[in-house]
Amino acid sequence: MNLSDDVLTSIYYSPSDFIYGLYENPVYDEETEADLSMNFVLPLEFMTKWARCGATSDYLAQYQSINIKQDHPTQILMSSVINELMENAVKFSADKTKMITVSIRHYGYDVVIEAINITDKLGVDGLKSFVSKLQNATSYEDLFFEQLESSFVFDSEGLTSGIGILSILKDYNAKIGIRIEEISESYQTFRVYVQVLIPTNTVFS
Amino acid sequence: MQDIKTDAYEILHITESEVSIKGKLRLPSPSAYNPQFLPIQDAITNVKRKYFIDISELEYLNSSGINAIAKLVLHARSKEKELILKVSRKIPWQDKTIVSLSKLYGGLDFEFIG
Repeated sequence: MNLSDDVLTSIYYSPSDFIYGLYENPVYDEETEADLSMNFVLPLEFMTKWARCGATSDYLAQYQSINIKQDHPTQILMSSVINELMENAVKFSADKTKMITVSIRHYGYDVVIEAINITDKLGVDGLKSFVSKLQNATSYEDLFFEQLESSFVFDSEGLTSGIGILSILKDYNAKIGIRIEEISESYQTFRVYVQVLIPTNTVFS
Repeated sequence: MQDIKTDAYEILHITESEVSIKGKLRLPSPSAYNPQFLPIQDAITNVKRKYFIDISELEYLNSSGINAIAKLVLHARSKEKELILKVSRKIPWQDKTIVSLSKLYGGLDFEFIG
């Protein structure tokens, strides 16, 4: 695990980027308003033991909870959200030798967690399909239960169901942003950014 | 039914109608939960009326695990068995996400511990 600040998301979007949610309407100026910004770069070659996702999430949550509340429920919630984004970044990474980036920023009462990974056309198509479901859903809650019922009926793996993200959105009043940046047209590789904002003043009040 | 004890988690079949899941359970996919959860599913099938799952000391469960718990709820619904989840209000994902699963099945109820 390395500490690094060079893989941090660029705030300068290309017009060809696919953007949704927080990336369309940024809540904060990331350059100036962050109280804390740190990035962890996890080379996936070290992720063969799946438990490392959880261990890293626990550490990041413990580190970050100093800025919020230092109680145990806060750490559990932060670790659960970080772990969800990190697991997704690992699962949908096209090349297991690539790195993923997980960063956390703290703005007043809000915590913004972002995961970045490299994926292929298949991964991008799946993500865009999920965004389409988010856009067309009557509510996050309805979509959450539809996905659970569907997963049960078809006995599917539910890897692309977005159940984890949907539970975060519906249960913690969170906001989501998704950005897809094409890295190579010829190799059909893309950098995917997923960002979740947790308003801790409402979650932990 | 055989209990499972690892460094990260424990699944203890207390009685024929109650299982206790403790620790940190973050397996890589919903199907990765099958070896641990299929015996619980069978126990729900075989129980006379009511089955208890105590997760009040389960600190972490990832989304694949929440999916797996939801499948147990839907299985109980399909078998028309009552299901009682023992949960902790101090664990946010239990208090929020797991409790919301009551919308899946009217026969799901909760006991709050801690």
